[in-house]
Amino acid sequence: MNWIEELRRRLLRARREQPAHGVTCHEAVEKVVEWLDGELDAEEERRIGSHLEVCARCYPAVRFERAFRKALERSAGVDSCPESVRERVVQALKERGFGSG
Amino acid sequence: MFQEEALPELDAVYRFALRLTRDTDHARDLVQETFLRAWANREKYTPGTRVKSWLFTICRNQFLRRDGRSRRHDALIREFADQDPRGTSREATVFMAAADRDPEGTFWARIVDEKILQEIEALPSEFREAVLLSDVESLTYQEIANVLDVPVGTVKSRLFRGRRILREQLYDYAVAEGIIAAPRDPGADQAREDGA
Repeated sequence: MNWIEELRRRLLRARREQPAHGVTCHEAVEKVVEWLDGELDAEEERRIGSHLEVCARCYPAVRFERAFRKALERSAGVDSCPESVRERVVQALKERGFGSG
Repeated sequence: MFQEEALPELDAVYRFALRLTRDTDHARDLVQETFLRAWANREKYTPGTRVKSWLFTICRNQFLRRDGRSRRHDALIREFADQDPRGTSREATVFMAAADRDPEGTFWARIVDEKILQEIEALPSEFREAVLLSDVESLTYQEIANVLDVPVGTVKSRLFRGRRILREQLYDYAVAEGIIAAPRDPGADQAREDGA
């Protein structure tokens, strides 16, 4: 490996290890799942998000995971209740007093 | 409450029932049972909580009541899944494996719905329920914990494992089907990472 390539590698590594927005990659990775799931409190969400959205090392993984989850939602979230089932449920409820006031 | 809040959740309850039962006839019966039970117990609903979460709890309890045998079967599968040798060794490797060819994960969008549903339905029920309630129905960890009657930590663990199995299965499928190019040489990639 020539020295220019080695220097480029070292610079890249040093840049990655600098905390972005006061959060290190290590800390952000620890909380990335809860951040994606919307489970952090507002302050923590802002702090971790401000790192994940700009960090060259973390952001690709976030984008990758979002694409994966979007595919799950798209595939499993499209079924709607058939009209026949809806009518059957409402009819059965009415027989038990639903909608009678 | 019932007219305005519960009935609009028919689609969500039907989806959940369909994934639990993996059978349309069974799901239709389960949806009806869920709403009749909810109506009979409507005074037990706590105002201010999400009605969808309450309906899912009823739906799941009804399902478990009728389906004790397949639960035992799932317990065996889960035991197997816990011992899956690919477990930790392949943790987080799907992103790393695909990063050189598709770092944005665009291949996920090219996997057909039927295959994704097939893999979701193949998950052990504990993992399947957690993934559906979180990634499809957008319930919080606490709401999922209430539906499944387990601690929040268990929800996190089941989500983690369920998503990981899905990522791995779907990535392997995408490679096999040519949706994403096959890795050039996994051994060479590993050597490069080790040397980095």
